[in-house]
Amino acid sequence: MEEIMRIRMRLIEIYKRYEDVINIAAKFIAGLLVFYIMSDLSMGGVTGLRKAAIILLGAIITTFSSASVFIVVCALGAVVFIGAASIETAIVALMVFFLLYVFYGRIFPKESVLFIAMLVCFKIKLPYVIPILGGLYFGAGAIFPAAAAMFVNQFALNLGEVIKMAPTSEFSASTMPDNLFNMYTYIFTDAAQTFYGCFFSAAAIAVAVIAAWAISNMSIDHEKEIAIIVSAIVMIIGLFLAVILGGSDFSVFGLPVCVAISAVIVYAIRLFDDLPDYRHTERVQFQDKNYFYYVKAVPKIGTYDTNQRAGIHSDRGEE
Amino acid sequence: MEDLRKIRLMVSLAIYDKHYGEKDRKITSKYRRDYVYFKNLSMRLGVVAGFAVICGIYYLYRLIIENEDVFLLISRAAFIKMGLALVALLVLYSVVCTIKYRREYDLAQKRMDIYEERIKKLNGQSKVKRGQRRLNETANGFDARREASKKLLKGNSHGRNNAHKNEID
Repeated sequence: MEEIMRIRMRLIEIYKRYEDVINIAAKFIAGLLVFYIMSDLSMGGVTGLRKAAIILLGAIITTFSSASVFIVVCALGAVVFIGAASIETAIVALMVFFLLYVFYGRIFPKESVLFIAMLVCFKIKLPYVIPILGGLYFGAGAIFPAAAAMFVNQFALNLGEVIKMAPTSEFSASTMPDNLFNMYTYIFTDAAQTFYGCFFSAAAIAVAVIAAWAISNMSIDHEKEIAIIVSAIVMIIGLFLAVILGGSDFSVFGLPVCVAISAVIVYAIRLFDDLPDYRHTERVQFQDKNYFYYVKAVPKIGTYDTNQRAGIHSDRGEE
Repeated sequence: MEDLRKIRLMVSLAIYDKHYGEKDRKITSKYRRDYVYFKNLSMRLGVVAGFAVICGIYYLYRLIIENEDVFLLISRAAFIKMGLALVALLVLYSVVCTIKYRREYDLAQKRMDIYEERIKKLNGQSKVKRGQRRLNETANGFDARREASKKLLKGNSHGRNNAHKNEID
């Protein structure tokens, strides 16, 4: 444990030293990842330089934008990629994103990032990191985005069928109303059979978030570690119930393994969760009547120890 | 060398300005009630638009999938139902958003109060320092003058020079 704490402190020191560069690089890489994964929605409709240009542009915009702009850019990116595969499907997707934005994203932009993060994590088979993390650090605000992401992901299994109904290569303005009508009928008849499964899965995720949130707020020892374990167990039970009752499609062996790996990842993140508590390196300029000041304020990371964490400053004689 | 405490205060003020200043000033430029009202108003417009889309999808479903009569769908009872659902939704969103925006305003106000407090401290500190210096000078001058007059009374001319020197100090 000592060794882990030492490594942790070393990593924090490195992070604080190159904080600005690391933050920008992390945002850029996250943007690249999001848009790269999103490009699969085009089903081969966007390739080569065009694909690279869209991914790069999206990543650059997301690097320098706020959370609310980020979710709008991501939604527009998804619509563009879906539009390359099927214009009618892109219209349906635009409507769904509009509803999500109006009813949730606009009011809670920061929490909405969890929705995108979870959809991205589905691609790397570790979406269960987000509900546990959300419960620990976002509280009740994480319930809706995590549950909605699970619902959308489950329902998106029908996306391939919908796109096949009206591919862009066969697009014609005259057939567009008919295609939209057929899609509508398909979504609310054949695809609607998966609604139950989607609802059950979303409910299971919501309960897991609530479990993590409730336990992490308790005044007990190791509350966060217990919250991670309980939330993981609740998630496994809930998703198996969704398979049995709602007919969702989760692997019997894969699900517990993925949830367990997600729990370990959350635990590793939890080790660094006081990182944002540190003050950031600040560069500020100001003046008084005599001088111009160009100040770089660097936080004292090297002097950090466990006593300081407990709020005891023995060297100053303060408590 | 300028006073280190004053520089620290100025740094903290500059950091606040960099991160929250503009946003907080924009929020607190309005009264709390007005801020919440305008925010809620734009939210309500969005919710009404979203509700219209959902209603459209729902009535299309009843028309296309359930093959219901179109005149039944646009009856008075249907509009009343729709209206009630919209009102319930608006009430729910108004409550949630009012809590959220009030909290946002209060946080901004709190930060602004701390900022202003620090500015007062900064100005006050420099005023106190200036005042203290003047007081010291006056006191020194007074003491010096008193010493000088004593020495003068004693017939020591050297005392005047000392008094003058003290006054300069």
